Amino acid sequence: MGGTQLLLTFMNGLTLGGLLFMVASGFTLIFGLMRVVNLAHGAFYLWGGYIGLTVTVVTGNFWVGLLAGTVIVAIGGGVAERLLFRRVRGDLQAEILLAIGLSFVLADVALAVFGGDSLSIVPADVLRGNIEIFGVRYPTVRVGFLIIAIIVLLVLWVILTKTRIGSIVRAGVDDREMLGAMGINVGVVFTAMFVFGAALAGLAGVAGGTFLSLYPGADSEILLFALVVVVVGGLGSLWGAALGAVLVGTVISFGTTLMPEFLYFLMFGPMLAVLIARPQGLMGRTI
Amino acid sequence: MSTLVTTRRPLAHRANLGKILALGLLTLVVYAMPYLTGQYYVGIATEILIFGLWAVGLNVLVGTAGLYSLGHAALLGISAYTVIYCQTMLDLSFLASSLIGVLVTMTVALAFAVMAMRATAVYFLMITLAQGMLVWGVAQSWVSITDGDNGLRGGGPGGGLEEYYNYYWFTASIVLFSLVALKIFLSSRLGLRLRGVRDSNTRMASLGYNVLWQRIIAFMVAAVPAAVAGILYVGYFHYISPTAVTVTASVEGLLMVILGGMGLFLGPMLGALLIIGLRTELATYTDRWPTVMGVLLILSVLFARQGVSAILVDGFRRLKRGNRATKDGEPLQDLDHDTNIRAAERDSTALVVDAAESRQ
Repeated sequence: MGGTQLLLTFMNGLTLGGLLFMVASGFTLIFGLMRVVNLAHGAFYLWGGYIGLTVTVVTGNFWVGLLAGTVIVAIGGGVAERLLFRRVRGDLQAEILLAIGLSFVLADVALAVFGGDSLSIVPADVLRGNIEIFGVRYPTVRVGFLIIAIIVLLVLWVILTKTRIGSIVRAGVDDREMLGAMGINVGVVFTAMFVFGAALAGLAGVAGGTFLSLYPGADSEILLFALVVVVVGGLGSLWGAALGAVLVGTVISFGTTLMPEFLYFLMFGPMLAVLIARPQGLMGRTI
Repeated sequence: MSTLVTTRRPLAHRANLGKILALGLLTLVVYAMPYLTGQYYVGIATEILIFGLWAVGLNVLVGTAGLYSLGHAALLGISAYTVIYCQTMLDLSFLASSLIGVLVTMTVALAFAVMAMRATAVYFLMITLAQGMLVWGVAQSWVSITDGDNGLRGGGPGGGLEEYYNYYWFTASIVLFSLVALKIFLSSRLGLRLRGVRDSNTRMASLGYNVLWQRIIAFMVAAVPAAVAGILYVGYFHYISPTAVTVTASVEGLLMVILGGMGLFLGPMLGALLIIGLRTELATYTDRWPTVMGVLLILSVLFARQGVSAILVDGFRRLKRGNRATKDGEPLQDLDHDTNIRAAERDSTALVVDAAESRQ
């Protein structure tokens, strides 16, 4: 592996990590606050991508598509929380089973509507073509979404640590009953968090639609990658998700280049090791 | 408590007689299937028996030990892959391959059990999900052994057993034998300990039991029917591919358990009947099986957590008690409450017995 290819593979890993972070951060925040393992998160991602694609094609404007994918999936997430998850609040297994059921329906309906072919979104002019990094030409769109992912990370971090909303969420992660007793409407906070997490999945879906592609099965693939990310990083931890995303992105990128046959060992081996040795994840707290 | 037990006893005896009669009749119907219908439905019945056994095994984890696994299809798959590989590549007999299949499956199950046992609830789900994905990934990418997406073909008992009705009777007998063995195990003290761990692992721990060890036993016990089902799967399909070990396949097993009812031993068998029957029937009308499955899962979680079998049993009891209850005007107890009391009685007795014995 030459220097150029090494750099390319590394950049692929890093940009994939950015995408994984956008998916995983929503997932991990929902888990951190409500203990819901939202296995429908991958389906949210896929629908974000498909909606973004449709709206981009119809309006001819990529940014409108990006916005539509994010907002519509966010609303869908809120509806799912109100109609489904709220009814079984606190019952971990029931919540997971509902999420699985929801993901089956969403993925299958997507297959019926958008077909089995691999589709991709043509991004805005600014993001098309290549830019030069350390003398290597690299797709602009990947770098663009890596920057967006970093902005998302910083915004989330500022919101969580510096604002009143953030302190409510952090308090909820620590002790939900007490938060309710303090006069905060926990139900509204939960729905808001679900909407927000789904929005991140939808945004990631549009991003994924531009430089990976959208196809049946992309939902469970991204969900599993995100699961590995949050388990390695620590469920409920924002920086854990960021660290995990970069690690997993790099492993996937080098794995597919060097030894595609053993990619799954490469990914799930470390995950199992983390689960056994440090079940709370690299940066997580004991739950 | 003691009055409860004494008033219940004669009732329980009558119920047992009825139960034995019903089970006998059921067995008769199962064995008479090839006389009642043709190759198509006997084939479906074979499939139902195979997956029913597998789901009853999964219920040892879900219903008895309270652990939801998302990787149970992996165990069936490992068994099936091993059997076909041994038969076609190593030229071993079906019997020898089957024994190796069980051995390999149990070895992997032990490794999986050790990995997953410290985790409960959410983490158990995620670890088993990862294990399932690992097996799927290996099936997909270890081409020299598994032939990747093409899967492995061949295997099976050969000879007269290849006739569909003979294979059906063979499957029915193996499944019946496995179910009886499993039932005996679950009613034994070891089985009661598993339930004890589900209900209160702190109490079990304080009674001196190693909770982790009980969970490993539960996992291993659940793996045996999966291994057997894998062998029977080979004889029926003569084919295995990564599709059989996907997460979707594992979820289908969970759906069988939940829809059929985890509270009853044969509930998951009923679930297999419903799921496979429905899937086969719907296949002619629509390709949207995953949607149907998802909706079923959501509905059964929201509205019928105890499954169809519980609804049936509940309805049956209402019918039986109906007249008396309405005359006396006494409210009907719901099934949950009823079974919980019984389970609690049994469990506490077992614990007391066990505790007394271990003190000696």
